Amino acid sequence: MRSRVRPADAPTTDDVVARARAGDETAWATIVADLGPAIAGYARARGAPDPEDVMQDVFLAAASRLSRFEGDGRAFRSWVFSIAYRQIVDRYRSRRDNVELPVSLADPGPSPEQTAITGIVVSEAMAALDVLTDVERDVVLLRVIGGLETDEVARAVGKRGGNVRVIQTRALAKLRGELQRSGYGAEGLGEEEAR
Amino acid sequence: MTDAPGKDPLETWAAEVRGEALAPLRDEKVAAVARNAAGVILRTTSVTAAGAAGVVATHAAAKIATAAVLTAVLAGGAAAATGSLPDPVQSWVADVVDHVGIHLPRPPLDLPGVDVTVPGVDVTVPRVDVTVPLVDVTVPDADVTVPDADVTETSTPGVPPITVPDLPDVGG
Repeated sequence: MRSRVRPADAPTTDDVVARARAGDETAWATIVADLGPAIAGYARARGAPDPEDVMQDVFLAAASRLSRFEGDGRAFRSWVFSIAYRQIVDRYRSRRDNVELPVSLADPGPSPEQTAITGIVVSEAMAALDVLTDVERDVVLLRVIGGLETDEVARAVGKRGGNVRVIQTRALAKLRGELQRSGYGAEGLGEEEAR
Repeated sequence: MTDAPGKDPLETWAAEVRGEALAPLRDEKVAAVARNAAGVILRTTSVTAAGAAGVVATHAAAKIATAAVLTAVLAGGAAAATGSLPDPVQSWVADVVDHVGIHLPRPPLDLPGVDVTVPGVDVTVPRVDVTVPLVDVTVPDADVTVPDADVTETSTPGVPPITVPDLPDVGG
């Protein structure tokens, strides 16, 4: 397991956004260090074979549209993730048949030899995402990896907050069922309320 | 969803997904993306500034052209108003502006002479003097006399005269 990166370690503040608007490279470095790992992680979990390329494209798109952005540092975060969401949808959803998505738990998966050859390592946790629909997966990943609140997820995916809560509740129920079925985690399942 | 392994498989699952997906970026990668993003901003700004300068230049040129056209129109209008344009031009301008209710002087018509001769017919119209004499209208003072009315007693035929007998004196 890789070391965890906390997105809030170098928060994107209003001041950083203001300096980024002026083309301050240092401000952009702060933003990229803050949001980049989460964006690349979101792309990675969504099955993008080139998550860092996606991340770079997201920031270039954000830079080109920054003059139209209105809001504070927190709003900037969900705004950037909305760009990431759109990029991933545009890049991979239309040709998902050609994309190597996480392997389903039902799939026996590649043999150790095959893994050694292809370099594809998909964890059981990532594979569990396969039970979700595209939008359910986006909502869960933006919450889990992007660290967005439900309303911010709603803005990012262009849906209403109530709708996203319903999607999230349904997705977590499906995930819980899948993890239970596969024997993931030895303890009993607790109730998790969709916030 | 917080890390609490062993309590809720969903939380354990979320922690594992985060650990797998969130990888720190190399400093070189961060610097490269930041440089490119800042470059996009600066290029956009310079393009915008250049565009604004172009707009200003275009605007200035348009104003100059408009002023030139306006001057020409005013000068031509003044010349047309005083009838000092060449005759064909003056006539054309007068025709044009006549449609919008502006009447400009027209050059004198230079029509060829036409002689019409009707043989055998002499028409002479003698001079006619018409004199209207002064008419004195005198209204004399009216002398209206109303004679004294002479009213006489009349009798109505068929109605007997009313006789009032003498009444005795009543002492009192």
